[in-house]
Amino acid sequence: MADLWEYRWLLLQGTGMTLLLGFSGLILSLMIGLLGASAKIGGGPVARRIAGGYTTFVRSVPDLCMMLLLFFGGQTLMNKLGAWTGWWEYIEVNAFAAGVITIAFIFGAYMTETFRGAYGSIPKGQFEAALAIGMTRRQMFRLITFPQLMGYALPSIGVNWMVLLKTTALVSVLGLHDLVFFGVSAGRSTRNPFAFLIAIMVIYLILTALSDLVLRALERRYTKGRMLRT
Amino acid sequence: MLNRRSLFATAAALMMTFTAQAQTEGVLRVAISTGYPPFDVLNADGTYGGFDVEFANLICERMNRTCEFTDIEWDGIIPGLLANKYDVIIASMGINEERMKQVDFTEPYYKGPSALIAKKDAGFTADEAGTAGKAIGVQRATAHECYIGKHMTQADMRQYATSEEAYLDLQAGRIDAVLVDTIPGEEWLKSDPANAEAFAPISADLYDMECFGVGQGIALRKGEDALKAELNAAILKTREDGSYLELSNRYFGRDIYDF
Repeated sequence: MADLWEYRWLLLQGTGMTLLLGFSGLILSLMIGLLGASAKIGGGPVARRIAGGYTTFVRSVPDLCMMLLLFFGGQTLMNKLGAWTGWWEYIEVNAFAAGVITIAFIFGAYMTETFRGAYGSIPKGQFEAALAIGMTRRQMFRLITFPQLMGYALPSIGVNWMVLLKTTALVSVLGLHDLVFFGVSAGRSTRNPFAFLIAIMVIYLILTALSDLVLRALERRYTKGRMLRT
Repeated sequence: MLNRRSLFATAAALMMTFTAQAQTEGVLRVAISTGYPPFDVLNADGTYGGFDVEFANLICERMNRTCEFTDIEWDGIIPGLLANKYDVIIASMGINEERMKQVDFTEPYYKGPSALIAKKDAGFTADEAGTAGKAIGVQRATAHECYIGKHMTQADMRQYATSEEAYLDLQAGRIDAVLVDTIPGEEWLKSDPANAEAFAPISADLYDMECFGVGQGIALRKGEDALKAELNAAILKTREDGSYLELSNRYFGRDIYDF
């Protein structure tokens, strides 16, 4: 226990990094999800094929594999490209960016499916009515589509977020100093692995509990006025 | 929506992805892998300690450079070197043929045998016949895997991310023995009286030139001969001016340069 207290700043730092990775990945994956869903719903056959291929690919390949490929493989690619063209000697592929991009790439696929399903839950008549009263497509999206989309998508987004938060632990293999990296190394260095592993677990539980509170509040906001009993 | 704001955001994101790292003169970027006491240790305040870290500082002093440390997981330490994320690895890495295919090494800066550590009353010998069917833990991607492959082929080899996890399973009774470097192994036995009570090395010094090579050295990329010469010169200086002996005695009470 004394060891845990001594290492508290490192654990806090690691938690900060985990949260930063999580939020950055979440925002980016939400954007990708909206893009992918709109491609699957409103896009032409080519767009639909690309989006379909993307979601299938992500669901088949292990996250760790993709992360290593992007980080180490990407760096080697940049080095070889620089050596071949002579444009640069060494450009660093930032580990944080590689982690965020991989996470966003993976969870963008899950968010695509989330938004696609949520979109289908909105009664079609509303779109016709919106256009009939003269709303532009932008207005329709902002006032009609988006709020209801969020209402139906939030439970699923919540689940994706929980999994995303845990997946950030993988970035420790990229050398990113997140909570798991610091906790595990501290545990090995002090020969007290269990104390630190339990601490990591407790911190993740706290983060999940807080996320749950926030998601419930958001859900209440976005399902206002919805008839929950037919 | 394709407007100026989103374009700017995308450009900023791309710039963050590729940040040019100017290699500053006078800095030696060193990679270590903490979680290997007493050689590579993560301190509570985020600094790094241990024999390797202190030795690296000695080397940098004698090369008139500052050491900049990067802590990276053991599995990714060589790929990182090859990808030019740092210049050298000073993390108790054994010089062996398999690694020499990818990287270059300096002269060894310490050399130690390995030992099989098991329960005191284990009752089996550390050879082919004795280890048949026994579960033996090793750290993944180390020379110990090679040793078991050559001298203990009938053993049930279990691989772990680090030796610390192997020790845990030894204590839990899940494996019968661990094959580790003698020096950190002895440190583990000393670290807790319960360990020394229950476990002990059940072998003499184990060594195999093909697997373990000639000792632990500093790894660097191939073709960096000037750097290699500088490093070797610095290692010799630490032997000559007594700083190596002082460091080794402080950690282990003896000279670990050779055995």
